[in-house]
Amino acid sequence: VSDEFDQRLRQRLNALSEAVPAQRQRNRVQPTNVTTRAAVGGGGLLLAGLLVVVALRLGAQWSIGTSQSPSPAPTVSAGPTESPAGLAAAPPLGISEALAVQLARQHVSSDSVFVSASSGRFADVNHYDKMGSRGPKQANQQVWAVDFESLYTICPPGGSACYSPRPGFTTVILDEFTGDWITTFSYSPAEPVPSPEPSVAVLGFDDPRARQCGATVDNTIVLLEIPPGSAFEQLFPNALDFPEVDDATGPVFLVVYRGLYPGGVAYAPPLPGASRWPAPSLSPNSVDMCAVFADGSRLVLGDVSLDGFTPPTQ
Amino acid sequence: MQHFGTLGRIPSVEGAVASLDGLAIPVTEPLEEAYRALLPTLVRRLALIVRDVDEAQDLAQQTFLRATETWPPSKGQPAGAWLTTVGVRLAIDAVRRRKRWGFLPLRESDATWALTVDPDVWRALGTLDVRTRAALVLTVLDGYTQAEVTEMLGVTRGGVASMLSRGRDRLRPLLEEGNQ
Repeated sequence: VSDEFDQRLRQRLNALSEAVPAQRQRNRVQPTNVTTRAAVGGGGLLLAGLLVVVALRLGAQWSIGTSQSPSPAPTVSAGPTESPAGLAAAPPLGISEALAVQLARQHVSSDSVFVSASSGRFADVNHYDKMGSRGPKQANQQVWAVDFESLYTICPPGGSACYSPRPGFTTVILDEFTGDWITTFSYSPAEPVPSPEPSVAVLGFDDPRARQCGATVDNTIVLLEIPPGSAFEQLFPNALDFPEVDDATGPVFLVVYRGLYPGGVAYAPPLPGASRWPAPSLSPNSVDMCAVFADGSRLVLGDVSLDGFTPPTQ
Repeated sequence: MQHFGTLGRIPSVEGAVASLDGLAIPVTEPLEEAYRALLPTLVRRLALIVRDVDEAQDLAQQTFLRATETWPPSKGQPAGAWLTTVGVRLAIDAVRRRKRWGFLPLRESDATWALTVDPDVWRALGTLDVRTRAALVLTVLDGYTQAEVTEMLGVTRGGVASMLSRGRDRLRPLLEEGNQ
């Protein structure tokens, strides 16, 4: 059924895709008042600027590619094909280490000293284990992590005297493919601040929502009810973002399975010529979960990392 | 894995690419070759993801701008997949930025072209978040595998599965309604 649905969806998406106009729409907009005219005019100028830059950059490259020169000379070489020991292999198409360090320097103070750079999954290059995998960062995102060393002066809140400057690190995280800045994190050893425990209720299997998710004693680690807000993030600090759970306005019933969701998950269709659908799989120390919201709707959360999770007791 | 080197298996239009083979750009070809062959298709895909043709064109230009810094990709690596990865990531960042800073649109996006062709699917796509739209376009339309989309979007395989499942669930009733 899914295959048939995908076929239909593919045809309709294709029709839409083919209908995308080749010409810019913005130029055809007729301003209807002064405000709109000014806005469109400003956009046009920006656009013209961008196109000039693109033309200059591409033009320069093209002149090399189309000259008699035996080999085009890219301005920056491709990234490393081997990553440091212990890290996941980096895709060889990312930006080079030299460019990553150059870009990262823009995000640290001028007296910072470059220490090292490594590429790989965000979760793997998160050296100090202090950066969560939430927000714009994703555990599996391929990134460059560029470390700098510097001295930091830490001042407690409330106007108390600052501590003496102490050594610390700043790690700048960049998208490995685009070089875009993702986040910067500074770390200087200090007393950790404990976060308050979320008020989580452990429920029994007689809860009707357990049946809704197919939860049984055999396939489930624990059944929880978490309050709205940041409880999910606190309980599962290394899980991906699940906006539906984070933004829930009421309590969320949560089934933490021992492995895959027992109801099966719809996966991408097989490649042409392949007879099998890709088998579902889980990352190490990750499980599927089922969330039931206050309005009765249900959502399967796939491949949720249990790193940092301690099952609460009754 | 030869088709992974293509941006999509859908033939392009307007003479930019005459055949499916024309989309499979060998990595040794100069950037201009890839630009000519892949830009129109990249714009089409990004337009479905960001829902704005102008923005899609800007993002596609930015993608090739990035390509000038790293071209050519390593030997044996599919140029189309690389360009798609950069383009889709830029698109997701752009939509997030727009959302994060609460940018007001300078003008209403002119989506007449989409509303003329298939208003149901266009509106249904609009109910999905940008990553789910990207995952659906890449798998259903372009035939990328779940593993490839996992790397392209920088999420886990389960996350992609979850997005696809959610996306299909959201689109199914709308599409079925449209068929009746």
